[in-house]
Amino acid sequence: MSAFVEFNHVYKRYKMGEVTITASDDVSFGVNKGEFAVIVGSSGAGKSTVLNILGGMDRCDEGTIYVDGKEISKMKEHELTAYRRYDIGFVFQFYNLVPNLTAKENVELACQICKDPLNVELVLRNVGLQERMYNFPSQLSGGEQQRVSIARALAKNPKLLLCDEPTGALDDNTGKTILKLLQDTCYHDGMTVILITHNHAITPMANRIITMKNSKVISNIYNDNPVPIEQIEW
Amino acid sequence: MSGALWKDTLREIKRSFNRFISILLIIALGVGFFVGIKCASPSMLATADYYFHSQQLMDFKLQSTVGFDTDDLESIANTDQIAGIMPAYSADVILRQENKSTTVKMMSISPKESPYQNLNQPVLIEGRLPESSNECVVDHTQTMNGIIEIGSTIQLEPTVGEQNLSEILASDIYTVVGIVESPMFITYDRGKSTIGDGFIDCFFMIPQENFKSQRYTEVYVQTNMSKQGISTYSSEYKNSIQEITTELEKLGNERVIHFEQTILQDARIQLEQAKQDYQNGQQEADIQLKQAKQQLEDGLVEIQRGEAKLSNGEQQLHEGTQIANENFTLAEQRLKNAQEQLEQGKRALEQSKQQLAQSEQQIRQGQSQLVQGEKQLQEAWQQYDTGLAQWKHSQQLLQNATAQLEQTEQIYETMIANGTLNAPDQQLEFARTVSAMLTAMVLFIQNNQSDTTDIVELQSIKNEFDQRIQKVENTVVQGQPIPPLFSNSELLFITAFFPTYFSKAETALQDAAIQLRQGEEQLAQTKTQLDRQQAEFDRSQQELTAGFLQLAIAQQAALDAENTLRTGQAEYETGLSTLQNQQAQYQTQYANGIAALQNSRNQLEQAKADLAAGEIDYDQAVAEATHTLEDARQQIDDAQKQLDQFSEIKWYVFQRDDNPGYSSFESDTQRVDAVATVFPFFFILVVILVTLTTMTRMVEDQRIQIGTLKALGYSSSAIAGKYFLYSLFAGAIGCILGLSIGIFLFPSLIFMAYGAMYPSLPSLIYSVPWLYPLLSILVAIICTSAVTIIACYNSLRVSPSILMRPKAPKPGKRILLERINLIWKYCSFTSKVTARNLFRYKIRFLMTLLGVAGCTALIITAFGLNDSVSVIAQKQFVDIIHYNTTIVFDKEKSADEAEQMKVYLNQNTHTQKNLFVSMQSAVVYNQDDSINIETYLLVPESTSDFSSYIELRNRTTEKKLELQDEGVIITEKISIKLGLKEGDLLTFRIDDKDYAAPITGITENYANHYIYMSPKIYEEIFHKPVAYTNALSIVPNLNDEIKSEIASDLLKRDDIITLSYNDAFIEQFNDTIKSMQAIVAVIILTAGALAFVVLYNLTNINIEERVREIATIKVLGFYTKETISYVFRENIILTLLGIAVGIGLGTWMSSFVVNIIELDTIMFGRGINWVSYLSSVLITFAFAALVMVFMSFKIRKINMIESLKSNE
Repeated sequence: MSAFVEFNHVYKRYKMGEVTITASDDVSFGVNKGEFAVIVGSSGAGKSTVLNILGGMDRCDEGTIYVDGKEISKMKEHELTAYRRYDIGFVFQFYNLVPNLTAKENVELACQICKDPLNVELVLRNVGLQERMYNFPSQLSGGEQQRVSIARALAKNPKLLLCDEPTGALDDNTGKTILKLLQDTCYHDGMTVILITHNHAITPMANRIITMKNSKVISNIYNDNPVPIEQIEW
Repeated sequence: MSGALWKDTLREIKRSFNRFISILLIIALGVGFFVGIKCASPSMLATADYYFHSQQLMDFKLQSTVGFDTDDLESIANTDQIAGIMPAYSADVILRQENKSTTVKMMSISPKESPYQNLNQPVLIEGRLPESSNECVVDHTQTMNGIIEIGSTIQLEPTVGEQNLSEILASDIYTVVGIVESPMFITYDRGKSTIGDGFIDCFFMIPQENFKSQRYTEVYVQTNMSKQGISTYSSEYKNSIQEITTELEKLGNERVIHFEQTILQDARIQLEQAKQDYQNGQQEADIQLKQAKQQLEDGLVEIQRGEAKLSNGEQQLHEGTQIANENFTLAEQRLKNAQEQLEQGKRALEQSKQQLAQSEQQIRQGQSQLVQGEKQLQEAWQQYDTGLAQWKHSQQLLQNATAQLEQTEQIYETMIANGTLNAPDQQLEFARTVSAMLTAMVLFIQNNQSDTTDIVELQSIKNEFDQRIQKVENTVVQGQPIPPLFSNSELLFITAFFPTYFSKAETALQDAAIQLRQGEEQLAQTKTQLDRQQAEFDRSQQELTAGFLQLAIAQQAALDAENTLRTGQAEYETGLSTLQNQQAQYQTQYANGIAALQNSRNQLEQAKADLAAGEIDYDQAVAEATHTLEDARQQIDDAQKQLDQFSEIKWYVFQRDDNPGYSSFESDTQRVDAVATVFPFFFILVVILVTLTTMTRMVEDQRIQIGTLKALGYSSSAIAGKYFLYSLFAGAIGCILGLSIGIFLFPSLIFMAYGAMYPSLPSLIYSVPWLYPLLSILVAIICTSAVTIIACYNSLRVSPSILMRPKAPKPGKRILLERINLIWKYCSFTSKVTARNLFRYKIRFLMTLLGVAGCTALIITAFGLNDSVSVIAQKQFVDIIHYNTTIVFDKEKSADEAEQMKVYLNQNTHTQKNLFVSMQSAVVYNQDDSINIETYLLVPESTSDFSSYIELRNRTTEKKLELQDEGVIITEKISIKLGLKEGDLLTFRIDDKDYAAPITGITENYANHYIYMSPKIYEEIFHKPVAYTNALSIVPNLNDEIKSEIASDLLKRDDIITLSYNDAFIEQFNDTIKSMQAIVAVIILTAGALAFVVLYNLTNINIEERVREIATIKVLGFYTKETISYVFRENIILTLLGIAVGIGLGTWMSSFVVNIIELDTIMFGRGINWVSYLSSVLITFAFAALVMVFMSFKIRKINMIESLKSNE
């Protein structure tokens, strides 16, 4: 049985003038449904490229990618958009909230294009923002903004939650609460979460740790016993 | 400034090339448009100026009613400021080609060795100038129809008006050798003429020697100024020209006086002398002739008297004859009638007589019948009487017999009873009784019956008895006892039979009695019958008597009638004889009269013959005298005519202004200039605002870099320098680009538009009034730089640490709308987002609004301008002015003269509907006399049908106005300029006299200014009757053919100078409209470009600023369409809002511009057609849509990976 998310020999090359950079070099890995996967690697290791391709924002040049049995590697632009729309929840490093919309409206922005969105206020309450849902992003702290971002991703009721360094712009404690939120989402709600980070310290919290280096996957370890985030220190 | 900064700047330009280009373009557009439009008018003027200068266009054209001689020329040339003169000739002639009559102005070309200046040099288009006297060059416009080409010959019509061509020109055939244009005529208008249809169609130029006149017809004058090349449209030129005009006019007056004093004076004196001689001779002849004439006239009078008498007699005779004849006829008629009546009477009498005879006969017949009847009746009566007598006799006899019988019976019975039968006395008695009885019986029977048997028997019995009686008596007489008469046997018998007898007798008597009774009845019947017959007879007798009576009456009547007839006949005969008598008498008298008349006539004829002879003698004498006098008269008249030609000697000084098209060109350029004043400011404003937002955005974009540089220790000025340079480059390059394109593009576009109207102007000479480019460069660069520096300064103020931190995107804010929960609640999510975004960047919001509104407003203004101009012709010459032809008189006409003229006009089928008006110029002024307006005072002959010629109405309410006797109606522009309204007093001046009249109405009008006045109030104000100067005529189906028909008829008259047609104005307006359309197109394109650049720029900024947001949205799974609409919904709303604002703004701007551009004498239409609004909106929207199409590619291209990046 194939995995929920499956990368098979994926290549991605960028042409920068006369130089060709291979951003993904024969990347292959799998993530099962309901797993909390962390792709870890230093800057330039090619993890963002993997995320971009997985998130339907970019295409691979070679190889096949399956998500929930659908081959997204051969999807057309329009199909990719639909894929993003219905299957993917994305949590950005810099939250990417629409500054002109309140927390609730930012979530609604995502919901209004979904088939089966979750209750916006419920999701916001779940991420602990019931008090702040009518605030604009500028009136929220970084952690709160990231929670809104997570709520926005979750409210779409996606199959897969992709997180791009969600704690990258946050201080440690705030980062922990965010990671906790993501961990809870995965373990309690059964959401498949793939998180990108350069921080090796947080890998114990995941089911699966995929390590990348020089555009290649160098290890793909399954962790039977993920550690609650509170116990991790870095 | 370090090299790194330069490099950085250049790299920045390269990096944000779009932004750079958009700033550059908007500056180029603004500057180019402003300067370009500003240069259009100077360039056009410069072109005209160059043309006039290079062709040595005259400054003045002098014309004199008597022409010019060399003395005149010299004195003109010696006038101050005059650089040179060119004496010349011109004459209007007619050229007929293919049945088309053309009015040609023949102009002279000075000979090459002329001592004078060569002015008004024609531009040779093709061919060459004339070299021999019978060659000519022709007007460029005339060759267009292809009839005249080089090498062809033209032949002029032999007569020109009332003159012969040969009196004017030496030759009437010319060979065309070239085609030229003249600086005198820059439009197609060639001026007016007094021949042909009143308009000159073209000019020909021929060598000067062709003109026969000794004196030059005109002198062209060049001033020092134009020789030096001072612009013809400059105020310096204009002022100076005005001064020289006064000089020349003064000179003209002097020369006129000189002409009169020298040349005219001698001629006048000679003429006076000749006139005197003539008069003396005439008087002498007159006296002699008068005497002769008197005698003749006396004779004539005598004859006339005789003739009168004769004719009187004849008349009388004639009348008498007539009356007598009439009387005779009448009498004859009457007699005839009487005769007829008599005949009729006779006939009627005859008839009645016959009838009378008949009826008499009838009556006579009746009478004889009656007599017969009477006889019969009498007989009948006799018979009846006889019968009656008989019957009575019988009756008596019967009675007697019966009585005898009864007596006898009685006796007998007594005897029986007494038994005395045997007693002789008794017997005797008895016998006697029986005898008596028998006698009676016999008598009765005898009387009654023819049967005599009984009688015999009875007679015998009686006899028996009588014998016995006789015997007895005889005895008795002797005294003896009476013997028995009867034997016993007899007694027995008697006793036995007598009773039977008695009864038998009785029976018989009874029968007889019955018979008698029957007879009586018969008699009675007969009597009745007779009575009846008698009655009938009596009646017949009566009738007959009546008939007789009637007959008698009728006979009497007939007799009377006969008598009357007889009298009538007698009268008639008397009348007839009287008449015949009279006729005979009359015949005699008539013959006498005729004879007398004939006699007189013979005498008269003799007298006449004598007179005729005298008259012939007289006529001969008169003819001789007249001939002599006529010769003298002719000589004097000729001299007088020559002098009269000089009666109104005047010099006319014409300036360049009087050349057709010269001033209209200037006003056209002024109009362009006015457009140039209004629009470009708008552009500059937009340029500043766009640059401001763009540069601010740029500086803000780069705050981290600024912060870094600042932290690295660069001075603020060094950091700002980069942006300053950036904007300077954009500004400078934009200015250069804009100028280099605008200076050439806009003037040539506009000049091209006007080119159709001014065909002979050479190609455009670009004249740049350097102030405007410099000004615009300065403004553009200062604005962009200042804007940049301000933006930089705002950033540089802040400490580097803050700068280096990414500036949080502009925070979201609750907008006002959210506070109104009711609305907000029901807004869709997307509309909420849009609404909030709209108010997020207020400056950008305003900018977009302004850009779009500006675009719409500009286009509306352009269209509005077009609408305003294009309605003029329609409104002025269709809706308001209904007449299409103006007939101009030579001078004011009194009502009588006008009436005569009217009769003449009415004879022409085309000019039957006309209205005579008095038209004179009047200057209207305001209270302090600071505003003066040249107007026409128009007074119609009558106000009743005025609206058929000129419609008076209020522009806004369209209510019709009536010309009233209480005041005047003025045109709208006067009221606007002087601020007058209905009820105010209008003050105006005519010939330096002031007048005032109350205003009763303000009427819609577009061209020129008019004061309309009723003839009544005119007379009240001016204290004189209206004198007519023009006739306004409505010519049906006016076309060129009809025009020339009218002209050839009306211009024959000396008192009609010109005809002018409104379609000429309409054409002129249409040309203006065409040129306006070009301007409109230019404005629309530039306005569209403005909208495009503004929208492009702002959308660009908007998108760039929101790249992360858009990328995020894409990541969230928005389809491309959804993403685009997410971004552009604001644009669309802003565009719509902008259009709405633009409609208002445009409406205002349009009226503002129209007010500015409006010429003094023309009022433009107000109001904008809805089509113009619609087109403006659609065009704006099209440009906005174009921007969005462009920008949608940019949105498509936004990479989602951008969303993953940090804020710089």
